[in-house]
Formats: sequence, C-alpha cells, structure tokens
Amino acid sequence: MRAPGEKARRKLTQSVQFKLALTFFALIAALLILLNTYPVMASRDIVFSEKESSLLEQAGVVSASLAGLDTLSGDGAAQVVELLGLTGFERIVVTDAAARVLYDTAVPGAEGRYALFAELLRALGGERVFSSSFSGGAFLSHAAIPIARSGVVVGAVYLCERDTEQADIILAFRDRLSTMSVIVFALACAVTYFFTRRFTRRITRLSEAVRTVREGDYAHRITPEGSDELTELSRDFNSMTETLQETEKQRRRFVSDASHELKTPLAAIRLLADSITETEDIDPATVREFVADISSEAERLQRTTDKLLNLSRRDDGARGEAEAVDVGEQVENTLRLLAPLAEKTGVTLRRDCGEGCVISAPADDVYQIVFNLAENAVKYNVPGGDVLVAVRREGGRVVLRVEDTGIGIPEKDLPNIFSRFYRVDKARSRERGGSGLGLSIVHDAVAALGGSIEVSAREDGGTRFTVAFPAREGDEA
Amino acid sequence: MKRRVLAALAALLLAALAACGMAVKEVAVWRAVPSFYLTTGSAVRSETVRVDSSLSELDAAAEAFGRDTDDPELERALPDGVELLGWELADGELRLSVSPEYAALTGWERTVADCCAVLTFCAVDGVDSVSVYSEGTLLSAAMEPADFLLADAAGLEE
Repeated sequence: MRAPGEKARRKLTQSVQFKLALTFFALIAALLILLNTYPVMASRDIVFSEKESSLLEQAGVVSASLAGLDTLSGDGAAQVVELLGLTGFERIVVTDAAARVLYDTAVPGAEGRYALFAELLRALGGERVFSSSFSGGAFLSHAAIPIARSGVVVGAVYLCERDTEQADIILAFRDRLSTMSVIVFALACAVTYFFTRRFTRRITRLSEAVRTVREGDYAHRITPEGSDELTELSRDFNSMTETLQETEKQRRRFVSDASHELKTPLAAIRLLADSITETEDIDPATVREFVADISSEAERLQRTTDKLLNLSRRDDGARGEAEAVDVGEQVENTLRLLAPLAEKTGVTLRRDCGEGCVISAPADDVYQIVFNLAENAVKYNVPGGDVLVAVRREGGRVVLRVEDTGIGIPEKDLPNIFSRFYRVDKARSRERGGSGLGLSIVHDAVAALGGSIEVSAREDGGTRFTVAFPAREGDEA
Repeated sequence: MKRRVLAALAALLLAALAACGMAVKEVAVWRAVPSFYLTTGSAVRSETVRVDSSLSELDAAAEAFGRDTDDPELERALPDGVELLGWELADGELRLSVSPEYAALTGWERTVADCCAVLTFCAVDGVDSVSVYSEGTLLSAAMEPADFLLADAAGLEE
C-alpha cells in the first residue's frame, strides 16, 4: 500500500519513457531494414532484367547464325562465336537436337558427350530460357535458346555468364547503406533517448506537482514550457491550483467568520446568564430584561444558523420544486410582512408591480430574494426614507428593482457585498440584526434560477438592486 | 505353460519381422525430371528404391529401373508402355532389350532415357557400359557415365 505523496516505484519496462523509446527504436529499425533491403533488391531485379534481355539477345544472334548454316557442327559453332566476338562468357555450349555437345568453351573434350542441363533441355523443347542468381559476390546467369530450321528444333545454344562487376557495385552500395544505417540508428537512438527523457521529465514534474498540491501546498505552481498539450495541461493545472487556493482561502475565512458570528451571541447569552446566576438579590425586572436579551441573542443565533443551513443546502445543489410564481404577488406579501418594521423605523414602503411577471422557480427562493432585498432596504434606511419595490416584464425577462434612500454602499464595497459574512458597517449591521449572509443567499438563489443581479448607487443617494429572472416559457410579453 | 507358448510365439513373430526387414535392399535408380520441374540443375536425378534382397544386383537394378516412382517431381525413365524385356552382360557391356516402343523416343528425350539407364546399371559391379536393343536392333550404342554432362559447374566457384 502506497502512502499519500509517496512516489510509485515501477520497473524500467513499465515506464512511459521505456515504452516510447522502444516504439521509436522498433520503428527506426524497421525503417532502416526496409531501406537496406529494398534498394538492393530493386537494383538486383534491374540487373536480372538487363541480363535477361542481353543474354537472350546474344543467344538469339548465335542461334540465328547457326540456323543459317548448312549443317550444325562444332566447327561451324566455333566460327560463329569467333565471328560474333562473344567474349566474357563463362561458358558457351552448342548441342544438336539430342543434346549432344557440338561445341563447348569450358570443358575440354566435351564434344560428343551429352549435356543434360535443365536450361538446355527446355530450349531443345522449344523454350527461350533464362535464369539468374545473385550469390557468392556475383551474378550467375544462364540463357538457352533453340536453334530452329523451318520450325524444327535442330539444336540449342547455352550461355553462362558470371558478372562480378555489377555485383561489386551492388555490394558496395549495400555496404554504404549498412554503414549509414548504423550511424543513423545510433543518432536516432540518442535523439529518441533525449526526446523521451525530456518528454517524460515534464510528465514527472507535473506528477510531482500534483503530489505537492495533494499534500496541501496550494501555492505550488509549474512553469509552463513550450506550447504543446503538456504546456496546456500545465496551465490548466496552475489554473486549477489557483481555484483550489482561492476556495481554501474562502473556506478558512468562512469558518472563521461563521465561528465569530456564532461566538458573539453565545458569549452574550453566557454573560447574561452568568449575571443572573451570580448576582445576589437581583430584582425581577432586571432578570426579565436579561432574559429578554438572552432571547434576542438566541433568535439572532437561530437566524444565522438558518441562513448558514440555507447556503449549505444551495452549495450542495439542493433546489426546491419549480412552479409558476408571480413575482408581483411575492412583492406584495413581502411588503405586508415588512410594514410593521417600516412603520417602526419611519420608512415609507412603495410598490410598482406590473402584469404578467410570472417566472418558473421554487416559491421559497423567490421569497428569499424579495424579502432579503426589501428587508435590507428598510433596515439600512434613514428615518423618513423611502423604499420602492418594482416588478416589470421586459421582453423575455422579469425585472425586480429594489431601491432605497438609505445610507448607501461605498463604491469600494460593491464588489464584495455578495460575499458571505461581508458587512459594509459591521457594528451597524449587528446592531440591526444583520448576519452578513442575506445578500449571499440572494446572489446564490438568483444564480440558481439562471438570473442576474446588479447593484448600483442611486443618483439621489441610497442603493438600487436590479434582479432579472428568465420569464416562464409560454408567457407572452 | 501358456506363458511359455505365448513367449515363444512372440519371439517367432519378432524373428519374422526382423527377417522381413532384412529382406529388402536399396538400389539407386536414375529418373527423369518432368518438364514442369525442369528449372535449373540437371535433367536427371537419382532415387532410392527398395527391392527384394534375394535378387541379384543386376536383377535388382532392372526391377527398380522398371518401377514407377512415388515422387511427383520425378518420372520413370522409360516412357509409358515401354518395358525392359531382358539383358545380357558381355565384357562389361550390358545390352538391354526393350520393347519396340522405345524406338519412338527421339532427340533429347531418348538421351534422357539412355542416361538414366546408363547411370543406373553402370552402378552395378561388372557393368561398364550400356547399350539398348529392341528386337535385335541397336537403338543406342554403348554408353558410359562419362558420356553425360549432368550439370553446369562453370561459374560456381572463383
């Protein structure tokens, strides 16, 4: 069993470099074998072809000359051969129809004996025969042709030639090819070794980087080299590591923020409880006040945990059942719920709901979006301020706008307001019961519905949130 | 008792088999190479044939020479219908008597048949040359193995 981060030990034959190198070696060897054999074979065949035409032609000339003589004899054959100047042959044999030798340049005293060479007998059978072989550093060629008079075979001519000159050329060519092949093979092996080593080293570096990140070093990066697929992979790895690093950072911050958010009300509850239990002769009014405070802190704790659970469920991809939801109705219901709070803080609630603002979404998600935005608009408003919640159908979208005339959000904070536990004014937010999670819930819910959310500062002060939902399919604008 | 009888029978059987194995002898017979296989080399080739060991050397050679061959790359030297009728050995010359159809052979085909006969029978002790007769007529004059050039060795070595 291999421990995490431990490099796997493998045999040399199991390595990618070995397999790649072996494949290249095999290909190069096959190519060189082909290059060494094919040209030699092709050259040999060309020589065979030349020999065939040359020998048969010369044998034909001898045959035609002998056919023209009155009688076929050894002397006549000798004269013809001399007259034609046939030199360079290993052997010239002329026979009669019974294969009896009339003339032989190679074996003294062969005249009168019978030559039973296969080529000769086939020629006596009426065929033009040629055979050649390349061995022993020479081309050994045989040609035999019948001597015919008036269509009757009266004898045959047999030529044998041994050619070492052309054989030497081919052998020298083959030797040069072999020498070059050895050099090319050695070079190719060296190049293959370095290429595969370089290639596999990059893979090894990538593998080591994966192990390093797996051990928790999310800051580890690879320096991409070249511009091939491995470079692309290295860039993707770096990008993935950056994401991991950011995610890890967010996770740590979230845990820290969540702990802090939970710790504050718990500390208050403990302090109040300790005060009640440790203070002697505490009057009932004070006890009731402390218990009311404990209840308030417990309520805040519950709100925070509810929202955390809500976010956690969204992170896990949990979604409610989609149904047709009229956003205008949701706005009216929400404003009705917020009316007491608005009245208490002296904020005027206004609504402007258009017709046909129906979307397909879980009703609870739409409620969360509208309620959180509207509640924030009331909570962070100024006494005597206004909150306007408007819904309109715009083409294929349903657009919800929540505007307030409150204290507004500084521009530098706008990019972060949807982050979890982010507060523009921490003290004021806690004071007004904020958890720093409401806008995160809104953001995630809108994204889950395929919508978009924008925030901007109003010209006359305050903030404007604009949420666009895809309208339900089938509903006309 | 039965065991002894069985053992004796087995011994007899083995002896008979051994005797059968010893009752043949091998004779080198020269055959013609059919034109289909006639590519390079010689037009004749020897083949080993087993004949009855009780035959004399000459009879054994004649018996083997007249037989058909099982080798598809060879054929009998005597054409179909030609039979070896008899022979006479005098002063080292073996006079073969063949059926009249032999006379129909002409040219190199006659030479091949003569060559096979000469090479086969001159291997027998006491036979120096072979001549062929048919019904008392000389068809092929006495020939010796030296009268035949079987293969061309020119150019093979240098």
